[in-house]
Amino acid sequence: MNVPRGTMESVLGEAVPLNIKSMNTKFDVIVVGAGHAGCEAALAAGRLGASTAMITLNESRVAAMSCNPAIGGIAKSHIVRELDALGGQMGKSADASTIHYRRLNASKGPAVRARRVQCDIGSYHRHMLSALSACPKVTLIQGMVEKLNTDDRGVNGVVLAGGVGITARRVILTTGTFLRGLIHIGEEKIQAGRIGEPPTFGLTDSLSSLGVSLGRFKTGTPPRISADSVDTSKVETQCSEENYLPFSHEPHQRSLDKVLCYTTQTNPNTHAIITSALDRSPLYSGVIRGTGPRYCPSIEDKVVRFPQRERHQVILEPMDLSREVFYPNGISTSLPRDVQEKFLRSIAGLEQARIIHYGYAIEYDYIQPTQLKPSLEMKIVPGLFMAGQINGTSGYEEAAGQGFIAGVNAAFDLMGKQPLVLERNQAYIGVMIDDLVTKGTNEPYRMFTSRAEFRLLLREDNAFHRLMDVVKKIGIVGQDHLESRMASMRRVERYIDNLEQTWIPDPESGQKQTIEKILRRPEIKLDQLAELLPESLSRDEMEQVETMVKYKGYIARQNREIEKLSHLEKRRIPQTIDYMEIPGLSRELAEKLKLIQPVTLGQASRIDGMTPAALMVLSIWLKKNTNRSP
Amino acid sequence: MNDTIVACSTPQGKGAIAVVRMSGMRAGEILAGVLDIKIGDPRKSPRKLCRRWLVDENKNKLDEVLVVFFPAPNTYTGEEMVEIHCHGGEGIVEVVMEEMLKAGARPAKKGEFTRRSFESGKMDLSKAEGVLRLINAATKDEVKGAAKLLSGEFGALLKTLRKDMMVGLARLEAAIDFPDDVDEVEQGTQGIGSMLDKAQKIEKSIRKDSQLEHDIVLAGRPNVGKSSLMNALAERKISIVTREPGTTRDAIHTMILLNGLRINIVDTAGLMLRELSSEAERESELVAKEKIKDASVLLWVMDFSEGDFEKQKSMLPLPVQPTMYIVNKVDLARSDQVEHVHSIQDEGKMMFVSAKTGQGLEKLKMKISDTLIEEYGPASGIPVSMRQKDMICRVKESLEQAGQRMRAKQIELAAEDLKAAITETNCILGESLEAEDILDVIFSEFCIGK
Repeated sequence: MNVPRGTMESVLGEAVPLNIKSMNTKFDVIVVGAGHAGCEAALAAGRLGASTAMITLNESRVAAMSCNPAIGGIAKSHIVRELDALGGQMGKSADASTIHYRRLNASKGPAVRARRVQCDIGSYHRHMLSALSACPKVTLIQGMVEKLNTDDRGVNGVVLAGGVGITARRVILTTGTFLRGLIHIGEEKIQAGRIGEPPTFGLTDSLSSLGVSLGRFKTGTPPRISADSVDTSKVETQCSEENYLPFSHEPHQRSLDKVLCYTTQTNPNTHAIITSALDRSPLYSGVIRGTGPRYCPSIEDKVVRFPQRERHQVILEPMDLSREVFYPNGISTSLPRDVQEKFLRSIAGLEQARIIHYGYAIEYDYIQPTQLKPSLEMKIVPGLFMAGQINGTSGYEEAAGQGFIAGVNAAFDLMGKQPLVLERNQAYIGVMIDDLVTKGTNEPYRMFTSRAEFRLLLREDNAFHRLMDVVKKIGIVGQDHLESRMASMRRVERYIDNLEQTWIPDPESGQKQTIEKILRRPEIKLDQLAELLPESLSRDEMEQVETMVKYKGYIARQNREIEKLSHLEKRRIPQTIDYMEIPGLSRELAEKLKLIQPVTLGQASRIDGMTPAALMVLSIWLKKNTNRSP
Repeated sequence: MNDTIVACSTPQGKGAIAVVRMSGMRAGEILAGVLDIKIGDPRKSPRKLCRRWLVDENKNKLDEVLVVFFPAPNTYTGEEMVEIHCHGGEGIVEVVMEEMLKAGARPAKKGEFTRRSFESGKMDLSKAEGVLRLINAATKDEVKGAAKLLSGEFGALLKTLRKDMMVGLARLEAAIDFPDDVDEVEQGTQGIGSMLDKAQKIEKSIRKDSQLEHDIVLAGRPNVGKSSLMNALAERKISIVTREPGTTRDAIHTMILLNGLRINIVDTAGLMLRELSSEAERESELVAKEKIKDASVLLWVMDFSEGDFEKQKSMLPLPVQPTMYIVNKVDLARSDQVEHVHSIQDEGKMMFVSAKTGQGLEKLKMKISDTLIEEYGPASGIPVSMRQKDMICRVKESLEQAGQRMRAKQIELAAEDLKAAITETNCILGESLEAEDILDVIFSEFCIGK
C-alpha cells in the first residue's frame, strides 16, 4: 500500500489526514469504500497488478465490523472458504483475530457444517490494513467521493469533495450503507452512513443521472453494552469450542486468547415493554419505508410476529479481547432510547446494563442488481463495477465474495481477459451472483445453503478442490501454496482408493467387505476405521474423505443433474439479440429478457416467469438465427 | 385467430341421426350460408334447436336438419360453435361436410376440439386427458377412473402431497440454515411418514393407461393342459383339446372380464425344449416365446402327473415378471398326496388346479386379478401414462429414502430426497418450485434470526 504521507505505524494508529496534492491521481482501478467488499476488491485488483486507489471516508474504519463482531456462519463460512481458496483475504484475517470459535451444525452432515468465529474487531481491522499495505499496487486515499465521471466510453474516474479528480477506467463502488444513509432511533433521525460517520449524497445523483435505478433497503443493529454493567452470575456461559478449524488453507500460526460468551433471554415483561412502545417505533409508525431482511428481524419484529413466544435468546458477545463491550446478539432494535434502556434492563443479567451505543435502524440506497452483468459490471456504464450492500446484499461474507469477483474482473478487463464468472455448481459465490443478476432481490439478500441446488457439492471441506481450475486461472494464489493444496487433494484421493481396495471383515455380517462400503453406513465414522490404513490425514482431509464416501450416491445424482443442465449453460446468447422480434414469446417475458440480458440459456431458464415452452421457443430461435456465426 | 374447423362427431355408419360440429370465428356465418334462413337466422336464437333446410349454392334442398348456434365464449372450445343434427346416413354426412368445406371451414384434426378447449384455458391438461380417457373407457370401472381425472381429483391429490412435502422440506431447511432458532428435526421424521402414506394411497389409486387390456399368457411344455385351462377360464370351448401333444400351433386369444378388468387370455403352443425338426414346430415355438415375453402375467403351466415340480418350474425358458406357477391335473392326486399339495400351495409359490374338475379355478382367477391390480392398478384406478406411473413410484421411493435418512440423522440428505420427490411431483403437474418458495414457507413458520 502506498500512503502518500506518513509511515506504516501511523496508518495502524490514528487516521492520517492525507496530503492530496502530493498524490498520484491516475490509477487503473478505483475502489470506493473500504469495508469488506472494498478491501477484497482492492486486494484482488492490486494483487493482479492493477494500480488501485481505495478511497475511504475514514482510514481507521477500514474493514470495520459495523454490526456483529463475527465472521462465518452457515453458508457464509462456505463463502469465506471459497474466498480463501481463490486468494481472498477475509479467512486469513478472521483466523488471525479469532477470540471465540464454534462449529455450527456439527451434528448434521458435512455439507451443512459451518465455522463461525468471533473476532477482536480491532485486530481484524489491523490485519486487513497490513494486508493492504503489503500490496504495493494499492493506495489508500482518505476522502469523500462526490461524483462519478464518465465519457462516451464509460466511467473514467471520480471527484472527491473539495474538487480533486482521480481518474481510472474501472471504478468499483462498495458503499455499504453510506449512500444517503439515514439512521432511525425512535423518532430521531440522523443522517449517517454508520453511527458517528457522515453519509454520502453525491454518488446517488451521479448514478441516477447515468440512468441507474436505485431503491431503499433497511437494516438494523442492537445497542452495545458496557461489559462491567452485566451481572454474569445471572447468565449462562458459552465456551469457545476446542478443535479449531481455521478458515484459511494456509492458516496463521499465532492465535489469540479465547473469550467467553454469555446467553440470556428476553421474557414476557420485556415483550410487554416493547409492545407498549410500538407507536414510537419507526418500523411500525411507517417512518421507515425501506425493506428490511426477514431473517434478521428486530426484536420488535419478533415480538409482533410471534406473539406466542415467551422468550427470545440473547447472546452477549465480547467485541474484542479487552472484553469491555458486549454485542447483544438477537435484539437489534430501532426503538427510542428510553425504551431500549427499559427493555434491556428487564432481561436477566442486564438489570444494570449501561448502553454505550444505542441500537438503530439504517436506511440506505441500493441498486436493483439485475442492472449488473454476471461480472458485476453495470450493463449501461462500462467500467463501473458494484459489490456488497449497494447490490442489495447483507453480510460481511456476501460483500467480500462480491468484492473479490469485482476486483478480479476489473483487473481482467484491464488485461483484456474474459470476465470471471463462477458457476452455480462451483461455488456459493456463483449462486449468489447468479441469483442477484438474474432474479434481483426484494429484501437484503443473505446466503443460505437452501439457495444452492447443488449443496452437497458446495462444501467447506472441498472449497479448493472444486475451484482449483479457477484458482489457477486467476493466478493470485502463489505456486508454493498451490502445490501444497494439490498435494493434499491427491492425498485425499489416494486415501479413498485405499479404502476401496482394503478388505476387512464386516463388523455386522463378518463377511469380507471393503472399508469404503462399510464407511458408507451412516453410523460408521472414519475415526473408527482410520487405524486400519497406513496413511494419516489432517482433520480437514479426514472430513473430506468421509464426506465423499458417505455422499457418494447423492453426489453422483447431483453430478448427473449438472450434466443434464450443462447444454443450457453452454449455449451463449448474443447480447445484440432483440427479444421483441422473437415470435411466440409473450411481451412481458420479452421485456424481462431484454432487462436481464442473460448470457446463457441456463441463466435465461432461471429468470422469474420463464416457462419450459418459452425456453424452447428461445432455444429454437437462437439455433435458427445464430448458426451463421461461428 | 383460429380458423374454423368441422368434423362429424358421431361414429361412422348408418344411424338415426349424425351430428356435425363446427368451431371457430366463422362457424355461425358458414352455417347461415348453407341453410335456407328465410324463416330466421339461427344466430338470432342462440342455444336453441332450430329446424331448417340445408341447401346447396343453387338453393337445392339437401336435408332437413336441426341446428344449434353457440356464441363464444361459453362453449366447449371457448370459440363460436355450431352443431348440425342431420339424418344419419354416410352419404348425407358427406354432403353436409362438403357444403361446410366449400363455405370455408376445414376438416378438424384428431382431438382438435378438445385441444382448442385446453388452449383457450377451458380445461387443464389433466382434465383434457380425462376427456380422451373417458371416451376410451370400456367398462363402468374404467369410466369411474377417467371421471376422477376429468374432475381434477388426481391433480388435487398430488397438490396436497406436494404441499406437505414443501412444508416438510421447509422444516428441514430451517433446521439446517437456522440451527439456533429451529429444532424441528423430530417432527420432520413423523411428517415424512404421513407423506409416504399419501404417496402410497395415490399409487394405489392409479392404473397404467397403456394397460387397458392385460395379456394373460398360458405357456408350458406340450400336453400339460394349457388349452383345457384356457377353456375352463373362458368358460367356453375356444381351443381345441386332444390327447395328442402339440395340438395348439398358433397363439389363440379370447377376451374375458375379471373384476372389471379386461383380460385377453392367450393360449400358446407347448414348448418342446429340444432341437425341432419341422418348420411348423419351430415357427409355433417362436410365436409362443414372443407371447411369453410380452405377457402382462405369465401362467407357467405344469403337469401334476409328471411330479418334481421344482424341476418343471425351472424349465421356463425365459424369466418374465410376474409369473404364476400353475400345476394342472391335480384331480389325479392320490389321497396320500393331498397333504403335500396343500403344504406347497400354502407356501404360495405354486397353485394347484384342475381344468377338468374346476378345482382351484376360482382361487386362480382371484390370484390373477390380484396380481394385475398389484402390478397395473385397479380397473377403477385413475388412468395415467406409464411415465406418470413411474414418476409416482419414484416419489414414493424418494420419500422412503428420506425417512431412512431422517432416522440416521442425515437430514441434509433427507432434504435432497424430499427435493427429488417434489421435483418429480412438479413434473407430473407441469409446474416448478423455486428456492424462494421454500424460504417463504420458512419465514412464515419460524421465528428466525438472533
